Amino acid sequence: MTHRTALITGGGSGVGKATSERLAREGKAVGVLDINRKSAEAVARTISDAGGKAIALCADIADRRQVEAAVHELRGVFGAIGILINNAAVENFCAFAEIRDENWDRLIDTNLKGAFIVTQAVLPDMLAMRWGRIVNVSALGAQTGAPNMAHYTASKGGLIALTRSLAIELGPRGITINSVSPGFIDTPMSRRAIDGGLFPVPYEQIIASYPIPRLGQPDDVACACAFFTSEEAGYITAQVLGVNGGAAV
Amino acid sequence: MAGSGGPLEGRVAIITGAGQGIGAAIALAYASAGAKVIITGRTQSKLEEVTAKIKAEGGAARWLAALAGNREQAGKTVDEAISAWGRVDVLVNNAHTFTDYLPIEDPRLEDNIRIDMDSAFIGSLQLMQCVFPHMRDAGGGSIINMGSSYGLRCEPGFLAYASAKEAIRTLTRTAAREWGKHKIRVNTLLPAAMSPKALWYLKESNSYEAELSKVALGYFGKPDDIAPLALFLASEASNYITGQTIGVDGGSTML
Repeated sequence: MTHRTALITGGGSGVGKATSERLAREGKAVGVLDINRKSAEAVARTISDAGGKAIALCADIADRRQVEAAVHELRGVFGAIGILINNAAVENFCAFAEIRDENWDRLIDTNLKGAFIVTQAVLPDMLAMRWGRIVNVSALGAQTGAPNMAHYTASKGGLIALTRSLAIELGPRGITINSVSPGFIDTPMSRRAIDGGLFPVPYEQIIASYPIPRLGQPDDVACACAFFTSEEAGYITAQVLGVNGGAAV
Repeated sequence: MAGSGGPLEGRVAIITGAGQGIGAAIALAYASAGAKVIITGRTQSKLEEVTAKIKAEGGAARWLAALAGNREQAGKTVDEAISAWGRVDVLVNNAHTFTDYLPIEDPRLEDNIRIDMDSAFIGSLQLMQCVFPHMRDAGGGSIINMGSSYGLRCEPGFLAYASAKEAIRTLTRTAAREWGKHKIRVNTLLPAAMSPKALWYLKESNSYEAELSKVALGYFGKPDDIAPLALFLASEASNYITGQTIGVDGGSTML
């Protein structure tokens, strides 16, 4: 099996944790990057204890210097980075009229600019190998719209546009870029929204309307990320795959 | 091939139009992943060849000469799977008898549309109806229908082909919503793989370079490039994915 090094941002919890663990189980050497060092370390330790290869990396992805240091560290330990999962994101449930500039900037800086910074940081490795797999984790709300999440959905919609443009620009260089668009997934982020009563209707009512009437699990999304980053998926690029239980788009 | 522990171990799959090209590649990939496969098509010799290849590699396969769009043959195909192996877990509606280029003003277009619709759309519908009770009673299944980027792009001269493919996407999404409660997942794959006929057409119409320029990855795919996505959608790894349209076309479709 070809050695591959993967970087997963927001790898300390939720979808990022599940994706880090799944890629490691499939034999990838993974860099678990999170702004929360302890959570990244816990995931990396779980992987190592199970016999996989992982290191924890701590960085705010909106900060280029921190990102470059983390990428340098991962490259030094496991070699050139061929797989990138741009997953890290922050949320801020808020009516549009009340969104403050600093919250708008924080979401765009992390969710969209962060992906731009991390992708630029790992790109030289992929270009040198003429092989790369990038997955941008967007969101169902970017496809359908969602109340009280305008800045979040705008940032995730930006990731879909980024996916398509990079697919065209980097395709001839052997790099595929796809987007996985999760629906309602059982993550700490979703739980905060449920517990905070932030949905207009009870969440059970929302998932009951889906063809597959359950909350998605982080590993459902991880499986799609693993597929898109596999050797076999080399002819698939620029796609947006909804992992959403069939929620209408 | 067909070693234990593959992602489709113990599953039974029907793949139509599997005597060659994309259908054959999917049948081989499924058998390699542990599935028992029923393949259908029009030409007996081609079906025998694919079946022999699967068996030679240790897989389980049966073939049936069946024309997409013939209800009786659709029923027989599913009966064959049930009588041989007792279940149907995966259906790949790949067969499509398509007609040649015609502009809209050509009076022959109506007949062409009927041919495309009968084969691709009605053919897919019939097999879905036939497998439905078996999948429902077994607690689920995965159906993969074949659409086309031509359906989205509305290329001049391809109304018959493209409209059948878009009708299939509507069938997919409707079935995903109706049958989700039975854990039957339905997705559309938009494949692009070079066939001898497609190559002939591109050269004949002097559109080879223009078509290639639409492919982000810069090369035309092969049937083997399509099979991995069909395998993913058939496997448990895609259990929360239904009603989707996914291109495996080098990035020429951005939906």
